[in-house]
Amino acid sequence: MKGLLYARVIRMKKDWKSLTFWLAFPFLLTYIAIRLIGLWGEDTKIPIGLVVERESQLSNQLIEKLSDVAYLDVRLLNEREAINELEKHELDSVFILQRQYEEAIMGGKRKGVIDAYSSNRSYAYFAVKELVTSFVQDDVSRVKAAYEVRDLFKEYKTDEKWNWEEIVQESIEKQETQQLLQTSFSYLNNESGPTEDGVFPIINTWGIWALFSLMTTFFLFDWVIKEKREELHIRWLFTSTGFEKFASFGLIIYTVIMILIDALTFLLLSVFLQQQVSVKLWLSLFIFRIVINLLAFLFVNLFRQSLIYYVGSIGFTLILMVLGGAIIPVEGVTKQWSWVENLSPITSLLNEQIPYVWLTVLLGLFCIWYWKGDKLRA
Amino acid sequence: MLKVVDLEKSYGKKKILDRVSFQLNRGEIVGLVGENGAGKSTLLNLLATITRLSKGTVQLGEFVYGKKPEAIRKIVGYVPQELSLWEEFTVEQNMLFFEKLSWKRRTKEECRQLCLDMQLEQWKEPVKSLSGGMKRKLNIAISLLHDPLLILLDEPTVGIDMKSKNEIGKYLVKLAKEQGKIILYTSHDMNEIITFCDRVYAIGKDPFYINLLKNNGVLVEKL
Repeated sequence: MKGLLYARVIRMKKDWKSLTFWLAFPFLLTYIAIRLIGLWGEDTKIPIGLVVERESQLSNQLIEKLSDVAYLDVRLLNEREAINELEKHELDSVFILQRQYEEAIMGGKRKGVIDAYSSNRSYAYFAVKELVTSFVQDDVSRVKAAYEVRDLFKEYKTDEKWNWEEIVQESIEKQETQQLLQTSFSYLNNESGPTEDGVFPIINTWGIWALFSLMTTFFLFDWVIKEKREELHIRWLFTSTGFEKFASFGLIIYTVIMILIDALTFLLLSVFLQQQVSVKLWLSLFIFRIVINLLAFLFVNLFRQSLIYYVGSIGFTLILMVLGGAIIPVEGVTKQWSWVENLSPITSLLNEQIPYVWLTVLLGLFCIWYWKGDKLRA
Repeated sequence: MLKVVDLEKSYGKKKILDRVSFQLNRGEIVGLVGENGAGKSTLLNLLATITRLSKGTVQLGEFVYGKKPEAIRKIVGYVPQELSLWEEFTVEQNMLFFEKLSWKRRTKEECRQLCLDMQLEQWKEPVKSLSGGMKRKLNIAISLLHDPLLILLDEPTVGIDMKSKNEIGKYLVKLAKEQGKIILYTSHDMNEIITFCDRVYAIGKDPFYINLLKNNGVLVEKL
């Protein structure tokens, strides 16, 4: 055992630079990818100017609603600045809430309460205008509903005190708690909810990590090709361990190191990217690591040339990623054919489950490989 | 002692070795010659337990070839014709790597001494920067790490300079005479065979080598 470990250390020490690089690669790439996607999201926000001629409760509510829209970059300006920036095409469009905005809404009017400006490059103007209109309509409808209630009170001559604000507040609360119209797109059972910015994440961080991790694992396991090359074949026959035992020990050592790196990666990602890491996720990560290491180990044993192996492993990774739903959601397919879920171990990781089928099959194949090699050696 | 009786090896219908019998004693260094394809490498592979024999019996010391090849490999050192080394490692790393996986424990100093005995002094140098002769010496040194009784060498000096050939030859003679090793090795260099071997076996149908060696006063037997 000591000899095996020492020999493995000699091998690993020789490749420590590439080993370190590939071990850090999944964390770095995941972090960069998530950050870039976030930045890209910021850059693609539509800049609009909002001019409030007189502050009121309803105007503030509208500002808040528009600011909550993920794809809008709302800038509060005065009229002159807003028009100036629009002319310079730094704003997509400008909306001016008139002085009598609140009074008009309270009076049930919805026309002529907001002036809208656009330029010949206002590509999102109509969409934003529709959105603003819908928010205004929202308030007007709420007011109308309140007046309807008041009229009903009058018609039936009820003694109860009528409270306009109470009705409006109740209406807002119901809309928020019951999510009458809001629907969110979430990625593959991602129940983490919106981020601090109120944005629902479309991409699953662990899915991105799984992609890089799988690819890295395949690349790291090219040591098997180096160690079983033709010229060394004879040497292994004249060692006390033989190739199978030495390579299997290598598999264990690599797996232990990679589990530790994965744990560190998960901690760092949970800190830097505010990802939730549950106990179930830890457990499925642990098994996922064992499964993909076994998979890479058995896969690399099918090859003799590194280049062909690299090409093969990239293709294999992509297949597993697509089947696992880490690149495109496959919920539609899995709802119809549930067995598709078992085709990739990534599905189990994203669902925080244990890939029993993969684990059993791979352990079985590993035993066959070991036994066959031992038999050939004898 | 290595005793081979009526050894046969066939690949399909093609018989490569047909009823080969011979005996090698401790302290002997014996050459094996023959034209290409005569079966020299096949015979060495059989004796090294790399391939299985079709018929006949082979006995090395107390071990009879057959069921437990690993027990025999512990006392056989095989030097392949191809360089079987970690090119990216230094001489030291190569020696220590294979020592750790060997049946016999050796200290770092012992490993280094093994190299020095063969005039291989570049202990810290990477293998890829060594000359062909130095690589050959390392190839032999690794095969001797587990201190084998029978040493089989398949053209160990092919493609190297005279000086290195001489150093390797002298070291093999020393191993046989001083440590009682049994050495069987193949070569196409007749000068080497004449200089270092006690006896020579010729294999194959062509009498060229037998005549050549007999004319030089070497004791040669046909297998």
